[in-house]
Amino acid sequence: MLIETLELEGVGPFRGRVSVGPFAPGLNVLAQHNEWGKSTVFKAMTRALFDKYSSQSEEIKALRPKGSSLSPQIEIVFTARGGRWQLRKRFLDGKASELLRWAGGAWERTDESDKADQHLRELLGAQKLEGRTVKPETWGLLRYLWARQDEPADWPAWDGASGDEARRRLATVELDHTLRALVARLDEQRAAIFTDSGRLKAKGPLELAEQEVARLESERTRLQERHDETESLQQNFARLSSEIAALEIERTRLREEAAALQKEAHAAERWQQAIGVHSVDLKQADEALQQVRRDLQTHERLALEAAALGEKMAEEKATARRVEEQLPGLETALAEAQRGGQSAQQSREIEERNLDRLRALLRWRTAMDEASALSVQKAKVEAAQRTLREVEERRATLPTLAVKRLQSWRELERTIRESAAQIDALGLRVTLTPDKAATVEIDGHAQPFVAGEGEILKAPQAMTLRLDGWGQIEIRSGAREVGEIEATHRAAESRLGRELGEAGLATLAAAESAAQQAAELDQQSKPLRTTLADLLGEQADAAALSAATTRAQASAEEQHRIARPDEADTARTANVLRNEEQALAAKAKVSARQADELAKEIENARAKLETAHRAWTASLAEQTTLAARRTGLLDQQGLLAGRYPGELAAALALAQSEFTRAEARLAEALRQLPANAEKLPARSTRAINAAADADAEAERKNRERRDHEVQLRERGGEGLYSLLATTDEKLELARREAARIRTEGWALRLAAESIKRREQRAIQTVLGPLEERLSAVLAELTGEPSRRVFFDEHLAIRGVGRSEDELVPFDDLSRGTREQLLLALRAAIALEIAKDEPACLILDDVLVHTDAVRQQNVLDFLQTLSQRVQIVILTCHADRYRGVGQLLAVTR
Amino acid sequence: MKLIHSADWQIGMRFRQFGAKAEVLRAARLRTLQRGLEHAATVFADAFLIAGDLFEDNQVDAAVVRAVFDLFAEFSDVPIFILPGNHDPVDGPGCLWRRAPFAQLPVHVTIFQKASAIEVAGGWLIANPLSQKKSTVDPSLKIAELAATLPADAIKIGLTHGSPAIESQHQPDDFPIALDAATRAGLDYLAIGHWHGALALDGGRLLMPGTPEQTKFDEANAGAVQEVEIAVHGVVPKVTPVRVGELMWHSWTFDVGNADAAKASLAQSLGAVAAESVVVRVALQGEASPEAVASARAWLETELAPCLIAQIEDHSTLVLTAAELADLQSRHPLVAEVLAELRDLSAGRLSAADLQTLSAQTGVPFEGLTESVAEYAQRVLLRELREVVNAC
Repeated sequence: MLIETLELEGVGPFRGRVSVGPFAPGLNVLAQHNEWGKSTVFKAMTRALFDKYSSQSEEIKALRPKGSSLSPQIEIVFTARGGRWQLRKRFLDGKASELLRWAGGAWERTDESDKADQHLRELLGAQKLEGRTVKPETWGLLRYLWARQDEPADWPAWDGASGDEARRRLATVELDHTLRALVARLDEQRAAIFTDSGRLKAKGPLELAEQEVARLESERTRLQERHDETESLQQNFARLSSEIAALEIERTRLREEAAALQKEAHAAERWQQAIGVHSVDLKQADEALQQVRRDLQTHERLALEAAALGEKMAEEKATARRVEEQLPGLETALAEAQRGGQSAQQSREIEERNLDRLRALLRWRTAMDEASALSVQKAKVEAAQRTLREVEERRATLPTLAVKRLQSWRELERTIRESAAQIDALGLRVTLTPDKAATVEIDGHAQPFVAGEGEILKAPQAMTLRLDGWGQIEIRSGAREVGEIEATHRAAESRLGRELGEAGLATLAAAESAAQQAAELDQQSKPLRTTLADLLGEQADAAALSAATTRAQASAEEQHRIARPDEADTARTANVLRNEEQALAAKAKVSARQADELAKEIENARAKLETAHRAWTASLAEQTTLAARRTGLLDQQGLLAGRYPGELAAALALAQSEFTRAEARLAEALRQLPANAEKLPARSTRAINAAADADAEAERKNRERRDHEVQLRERGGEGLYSLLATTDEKLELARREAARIRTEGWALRLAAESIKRREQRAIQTVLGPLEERLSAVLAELTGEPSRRVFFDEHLAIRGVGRSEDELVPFDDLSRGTREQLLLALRAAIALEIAKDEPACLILDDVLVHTDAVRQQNVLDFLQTLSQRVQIVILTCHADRYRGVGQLLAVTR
Repeated sequence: MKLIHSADWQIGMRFRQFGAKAEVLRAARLRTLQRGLEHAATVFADAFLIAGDLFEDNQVDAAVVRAVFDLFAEFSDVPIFILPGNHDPVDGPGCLWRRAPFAQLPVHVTIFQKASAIEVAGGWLIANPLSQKKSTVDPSLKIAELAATLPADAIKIGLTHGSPAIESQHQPDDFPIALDAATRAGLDYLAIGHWHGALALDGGRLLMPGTPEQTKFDEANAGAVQEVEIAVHGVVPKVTPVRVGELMWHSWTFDVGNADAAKASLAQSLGAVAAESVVVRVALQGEASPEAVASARAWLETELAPCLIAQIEDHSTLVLTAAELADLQSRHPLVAEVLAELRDLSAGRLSAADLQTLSAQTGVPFEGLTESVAEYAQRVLLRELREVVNAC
């Protein structure tokens, strides 16, 4: 189509009628500032061309001036399909649509309302309207020619019919319409069965068929399981029948075995009872025999024991007599020993008392000697302490001078002396010899001078003289070092004086003297201390010595009180007392030993006497016991003999005979008893239990078989097989139907996709020329001829680059380059359309990212393109398009 | 002594391949049984023997069992002797022989529920029924054992069910019967059942009668009962097959590439049979255009309509005439290419790798790229193309 004029009213900022145009067939520029309404003009035009007049969508309402309820009205005059047309459209209130055709010099209405809208879409090659408002995707090829402001710079999706058409035209593939329809029909039929992704169409025939198959399979499985259960029951029933028959035979056998064993067990039991009786008889006979034997042996033993006791009683009597004879001698010996013991004990006590008194006297004498010695020691210590105290008092008057300090003072004194000599040698020396007696003021001190006598004046560096009648003379030496020596000299003098003063000394000589005296006194005090320490001995000090002396005196007094010495005792020395004590102690020791020995003798005599007494008494008692025992034995003999009427030997022979008979009866019973008699009861019990178990098992199996029988009778009438047969038939049909539909679906897909695959392959073969075309346009726009554009077989752009290896994906290109590439694409489509029908390219501020250099290239390209395609540029950058094409007039 | 020897009636048999038509086939078997009984009554047979597998299964529907029982009751003058076979063994209280209505038998019906010998028309009928589905024991051995206890000069007829032990034709656990079982047991005739085709062995004394009503297309020598006459003991029985089968099963081919001749042949075949009792399967073969195949199918559907059951199986290969192919290639070369590829696929000329590629490109699963799918795809492609062209 070519746009000629456009009029708007009640649209956006245009409340009144506004006329845009006329549009030239070539390049048109609508350059207005921002907010003027350029995009609104574009939107209104597209809404008028593509939306239903009756639409009340929000997009339509948004066309109205803000805050107004005006009805948007648009009139467009355009040429299309060889005719000149006028569209008059009014939305919302008073909605209307009219399509008029220029014929015979006047507008002639061809259609109105829905028909007008539909006719218009046909003229524009747009898809049939289904909703009231449409998206650009349904604009037909115009969706690729009319670039909207703020549209993302994305490569178009070649979707829908318009996408197919664009691809076909761009790739110059002459697609067979018949094939398109064929593929559409195949796809349509396939879509009823499978989705595009190959899944079953929900509620489609195949899904329903498969659901039916699944249902029937489930039903069949259930029936088969039931059938199998019945079969299993049949088999179990047969098995049980067979097992029960075998069990019956087993039961009979077991019962017979049990009966036979029971019979054997009863016989064995009888013999066992007989054996029991005979065993008891034998045992009793044996016991009787043994009893007789024991009695006979006892009788003989008792006789022997009684004889032995008689002999023992005679021995005991002899012993008692012998002991009785020893007793008087033993009593005499004891009395003698007791007397000697009493005498020895008395002597011993006297000697011990004498020894105690002698020891008390010795302690008193020792204490007296110790107290006396301590008193002497105390007097010596006090004298030594006095001497030492005097020496120490003299030493305290002298300063304590360390050798180091004294040495320091000696050094200072030498420094003073040496510096004074240096000053004297290096300092000023003025000799004044007045002609007549005079007084000279030297450094402020007047000094008389005798006439004619030279007086030497000295100073370290300077000297000021005032002479009467003459004035003041200042004499100054140039030697600086004298000053420094003087300073040293003065510092040494000052320090020595100060330190001596602090020590209370006048001079260094006094110090030297004091140090010598102190050394001498220190020398004296040392032996005094040693002597004092020796005198103190073990005592810590004089006070301790004094206390010890006091204690010793008290101890002496205490011992005196205890010992109470008489005059003779007082005359005896400690050594005398000690010698007497040792002698007496030795004597007392001997007496004590003698007393102990006598005591032991008494004890021995007493023990011998007691032993003899006990032996005599025991012998008498033993005689009595033996007599009693002998009497008892004789009584027992009498009793044993009284048990048997005849002789004991005859009784033994009778018992022996009874035992032999009982033994023979038992042997016969044992011979009759079966060898495994003891096992027979258990075997019989086991056989009975086994028979009972078999009975129980047979009962259980019979019960189980009856259960099976009931179940089988119930199931037998269910007709499971017939149900299975019917289900199988239905299932077969359902499976076939599902297979048929699946085959149909796969066949449809196979056919359709095979065609599409070849179609794509065909497109791929012609991509080269298209890539060449777009690459050339891009080179023209960007000024970079070395770059190429690459597509895939779906005409989607893969990227731009010098080669496939250097391909830059479209999305990674700059926004400006993408705009230019899209412009190239739009131009290519427009040129394709223009081969059949005038084409109109609208660019609503879509080249805003293009730089100034490329802008010129773009303008060159657009001018060339406008020779074949109508171009409408909506821009707010009038300067960029100045001098290009026709500036569109806007008339209000 | 005259016997009607039958076996393998398989009443209640499945015919799953026929779907809803299966019921027709099942009903036919009952009518066939009726015809057999009628014949027995007509010839005053001394016994109507059923040598196993009267029923397809022990759990057939009670209504079916009742129908058979009622049929037997109608022929009260025909002594009927039923031997349970491996399909309907005497295997417990649930088996149909021990429940109503067979639990209470009319006097002319005998069911052998255990091996036994009974006197029939002066001779002896010695039967050994099956009580399980499989066995490696020859069921005729028991008959021989029982026969040895009977008078030597009496006519002795054995009755059991199993497979003649023909090398490579029987399974060891399928009740093998020695090929000389009749003479070995001193029988005049051993009536057996199991296989569905008639077969005579042991010098004509051992006979498999075949199923009286065919059950599938490839069964030969079926559709009859055997009329057996035994004059005296020791004489070889006279056996005459009597056709009682209602349905004829035919499997024919139709060459779509030579449609006229095929039509003529098929019309002749159809003319030779009673269509209302025919179960027919026609396999389309050869190469032809879609139109020719469609035309053939349409013709067949019309011609086969009177048949009781007709199945058409299309194994034909779709081809275009040279002119059609040239036209297609010039007008729609792309479709021609696709058709060529589909033809290769249907002819099995594509390698596994080709099929993998095709599957990946078309989205049709590998297992879906079958010859039948390819055939169908060719047809649908041409059909839809025709529709589109006509619409244009």
